[in-house]
Amino acid sequence: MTRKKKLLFSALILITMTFVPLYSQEPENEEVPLEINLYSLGDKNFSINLGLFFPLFFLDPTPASGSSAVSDTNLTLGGTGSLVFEAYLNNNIKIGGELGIMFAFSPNDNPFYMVPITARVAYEFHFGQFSMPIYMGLGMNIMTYDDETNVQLLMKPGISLYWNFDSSWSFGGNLVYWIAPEFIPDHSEYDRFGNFLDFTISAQYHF
Amino acid sequence: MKINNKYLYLPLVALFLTTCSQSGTGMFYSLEHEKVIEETNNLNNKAIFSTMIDTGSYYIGNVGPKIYYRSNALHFSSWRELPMPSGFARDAASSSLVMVGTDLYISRSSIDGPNKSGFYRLNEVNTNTNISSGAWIEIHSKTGSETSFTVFELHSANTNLYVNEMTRDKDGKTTSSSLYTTNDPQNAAYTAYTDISAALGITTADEIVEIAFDTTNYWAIINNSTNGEVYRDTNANFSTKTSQTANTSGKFIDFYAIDPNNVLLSNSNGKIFNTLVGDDASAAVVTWVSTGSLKTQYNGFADISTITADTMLVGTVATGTTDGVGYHQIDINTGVLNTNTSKINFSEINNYNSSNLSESTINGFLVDEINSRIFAYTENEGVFLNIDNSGREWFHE
Repeated sequence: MTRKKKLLFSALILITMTFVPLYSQEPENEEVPLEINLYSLGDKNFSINLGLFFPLFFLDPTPASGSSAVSDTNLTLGGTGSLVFEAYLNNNIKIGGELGIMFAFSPNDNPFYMVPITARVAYEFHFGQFSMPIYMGLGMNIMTYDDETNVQLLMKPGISLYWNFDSSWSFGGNLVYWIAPEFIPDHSEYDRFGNFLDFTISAQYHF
Repeated sequence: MKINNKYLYLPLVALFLTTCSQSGTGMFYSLEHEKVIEETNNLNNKAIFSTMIDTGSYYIGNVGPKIYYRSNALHFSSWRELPMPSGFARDAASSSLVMVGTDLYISRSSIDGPNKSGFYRLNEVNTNTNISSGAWIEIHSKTGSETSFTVFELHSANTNLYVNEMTRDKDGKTTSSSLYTTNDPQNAAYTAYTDISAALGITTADEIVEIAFDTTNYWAIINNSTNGEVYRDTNANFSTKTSQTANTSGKFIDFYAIDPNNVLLSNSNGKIFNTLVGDDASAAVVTWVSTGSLKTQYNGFADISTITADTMLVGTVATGTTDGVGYHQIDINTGVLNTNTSKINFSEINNYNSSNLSESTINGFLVDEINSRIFAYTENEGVFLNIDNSGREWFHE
């Protein structure tokens, strides 16, 4: 190989050794947004709720001809409280159960109680420091009035709004609608659907 | 975290396994139709009437030392205090209140202050427009001593007045007891009353529960220290009485005669003996049919069949183990006692079961058939009135 060819060859090697590594490098890292879920499978929360109970109306599923299906409950504004335990399946879906109690009074000041025991499933939206679960509860309703006790089905759809104070605590409020049927065997004319609303403030502990 | 799915089924399992008590009408239906028990006049809600009578123009009830009366012209009117005979302490008790004909009879006794007992008549009470303490006519009175006092218990049956005169010591124990009667109480002096103590075998241990008339027979219900006795006679002085105690038991609480064929008797064992079905009450030996249980004692019968067909009300009494629970119903045709397990009850649909009346001990009923009114006077919740107010409804007197 002539000298000229040797120099040319060495330059090519040198160039190759210099520039090829540059081309073979990965481009500089771009910033990829990292999604952080607030909750995940295994996270749990425990809530205590206290507030007001609003008796709305009774619905007669088989009203007599000419009669209104809707009637006044004759109950006073009442109070309610409940304990809720939930476990997250993922960041947005959680399942759990609720045990509650409510009270209100009849026209003759006799107390009326309901103790709902429900399972529930919720879908929780998160935005900023707030969480907003919407949920449906389904279970049993133990009713007591005038020394009589009755157990019926109960549905409780609801929505809440929480401010996440820190990783352990959230505070907020709940708005829940009660659909409480009462079926009387052999006397369907006395069947009624109780419609109620409760509004409670809530403290929620996450663990 | 793995969710154990079996826990999700717990509420449903509990729902199906839980025993629930279904009312006849349901709680929501009852609440929907509940009406406020309205206060109608000035009578104290805790006034305890031990007796209540209808004179034809007035309703009268005795509350220990006082007797109240009101007009029956309207459903609701104010109660007034009836002036009492003079010569007694302020807290003197009026133990009896009966009507014979158109006259009102009471007995009154006081231990402290003047130790005095007596019984009195108010003539023509319905037309007596100037009732004062001086209007009372003393039929008989006795002054007690430091160691004893007298009590007069009055009963009326047909045109007869019966007077049980008892002497008691300072401890209240009866030391002597006699029973007298007259069929002319308006004119007869007490000394002319017929002594029927021997005819009925009255002893110091006896309590005369009731003397009644069914339009044919006179009935005497008497408790001794252990049991009760039932006597029947067509004679008011029980000179030819027959015992009708067979097939009954215990001490008796109350007696009621609908007519000569149908009578009812309640005892301390929670039983109601009746002749509503089967043999009638005029049979030589009455065959009683019993109903009821130990759970409840009954006091106060009311035939309301002119208001609600074939129905009687019977009041319940608190015992040592059970509370009074208002009234139960009896079907006059079948003799069946409805103990309210289905919550279908007279006047229930409006406000009975939500009122204090449904949880009270009932001392008795007064039925005014002419004005379609029913009074229930209780041991602990005062007096209630039931009228037709677009449906039978209870009010608190």
